[in-house]
Amino acid sequence: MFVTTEHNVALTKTALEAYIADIAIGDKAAVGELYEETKTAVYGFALSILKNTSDAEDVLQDTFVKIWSSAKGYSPLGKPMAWVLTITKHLAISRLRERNKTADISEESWLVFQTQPNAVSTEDRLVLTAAMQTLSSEERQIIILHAVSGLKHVEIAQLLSMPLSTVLSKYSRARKKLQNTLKEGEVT
Amino acid sequence: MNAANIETKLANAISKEVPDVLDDILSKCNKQSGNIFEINEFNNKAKSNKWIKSFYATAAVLALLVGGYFLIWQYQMVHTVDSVITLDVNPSVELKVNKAEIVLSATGLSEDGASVLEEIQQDGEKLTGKELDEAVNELVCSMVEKGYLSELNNSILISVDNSDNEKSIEIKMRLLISVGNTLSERGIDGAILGQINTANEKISELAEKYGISKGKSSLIESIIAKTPQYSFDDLAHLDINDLSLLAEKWLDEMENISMVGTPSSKGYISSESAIDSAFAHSNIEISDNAEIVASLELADGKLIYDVSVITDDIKCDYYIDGKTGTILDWVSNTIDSGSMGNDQGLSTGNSDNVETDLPEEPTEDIVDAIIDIITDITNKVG
Repeated sequence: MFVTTEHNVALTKTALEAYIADIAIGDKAAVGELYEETKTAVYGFALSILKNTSDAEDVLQDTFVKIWSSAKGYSPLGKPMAWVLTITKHLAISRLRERNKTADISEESWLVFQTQPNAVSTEDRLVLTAAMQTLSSEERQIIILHAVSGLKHVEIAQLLSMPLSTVLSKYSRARKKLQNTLKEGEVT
Repeated sequence: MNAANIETKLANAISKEVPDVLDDILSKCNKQSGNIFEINEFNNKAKSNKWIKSFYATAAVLALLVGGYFLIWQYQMVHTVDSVITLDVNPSVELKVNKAEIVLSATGLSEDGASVLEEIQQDGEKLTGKELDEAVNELVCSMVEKGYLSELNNSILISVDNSDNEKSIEIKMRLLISVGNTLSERGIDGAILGQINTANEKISELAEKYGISKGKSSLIESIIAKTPQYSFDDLAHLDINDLSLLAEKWLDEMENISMVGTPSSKGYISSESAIDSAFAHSNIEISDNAEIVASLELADGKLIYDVSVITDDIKCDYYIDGKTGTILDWVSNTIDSGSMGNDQGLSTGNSDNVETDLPEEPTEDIVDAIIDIITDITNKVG
């Protein structure tokens, strides 16, 4: 799992850039390394946009296939995770558009978690369900990105093309909503 | 469950949900046109001789040194204060952040500042460990909620100190925009002042003496440089909004200070209202050639309007409380039409500070001294 704290930000960025550089010269093993480091962030971000595990899985696959084919065009600017997630964002939005054209079932009915109930603790699952059910799309994207990608608010603002203050206020609102929801036990 | 726990649980739940699709991905990764970079392994078996042993020993020592250096560097990056950011409204709060802009400490520099931090903590939040932008946003939101920042009192001063000038400017500009937007989202048309690298010995001493932040101390020094009639003591007790109103007209000339927005004068009566108050009190009839000037000035630690009215035959000066509109003092002088028009005639007013041109009456001591001198001279002549 990709866990970023201030202790290893610089190290992780360097490692991710090295993987992308290796992918650019055709190293498949580096795809595996990059996948292991970033899969939670990519899947979480896709899930936050699509609210659907099946679509999020497809976007997860497509993201790394796209990285494989376009790694040569990556300029190492110290933002490898933002680059990866930008690819995820475009693919997820494109998937969302396709789905809106073809699907006529409600968004909520698409949300079916894949893991067995005992694989995730009840409390962890409650938080994820609350995030999916009670937050707006933007709030969900921001809090999930902050929780799993290690991106700073400034970087999240750039990724989502939002003013920093909007990201900060939505982030703060999302956390309060989740706290209240979990406190009141409204999650079903 | 606190906020930090929520994110950890969210991350845990998502990480467990991630499907394993690596094989599918790799099967779709067709051969690229570029060459696969292969690391040629050193297949020859190492010969166990002394030279190789010493080579490995040296390499191990080097690795330890590099590792040690890296650990020290990492420790410094995480724990060393890189920038100090001060927010002043009336509550003053200082944030110290490391190179990664993570808050290492948050300190209230005034009673209200400490109270804001305490209330944030009571809400289950902690500023230390947060990103700078998030912590500043939290503080600004809290100051709005507690009424320290409002439409009437819309000014906030952000002071950034970092040894790297470019980084100071980058943080300052980012926070100016971000705080402006945060206030705007809460319906406040804010005035955000930003300044960089404010600390020097004199400013630090003054800040300590008056119990204010170095940032505010630096702003006051900048205002005094433009308005020497004010003393540090006059300005130290004003809040940032009042200081901003005083500084506004010289901002273009203050190199170190930038401002986004306009400081609110809504807490004050308008200059028109001040003029109306003056006329209502004096019963002056306004002729076409009357000269009327109203300016916001500082007197006795508060902002007042100095309304000056000059007609053909009278000159009045009114000092009006900027907040309440109460007339604090007034002086009225008739203008002698026989002179060139500027000589003062009769004076009336309600203040003790009306000055007249009459010589002062000599005191008894002076009279006695003069009598002694005359007696002495008379005796000598006699």
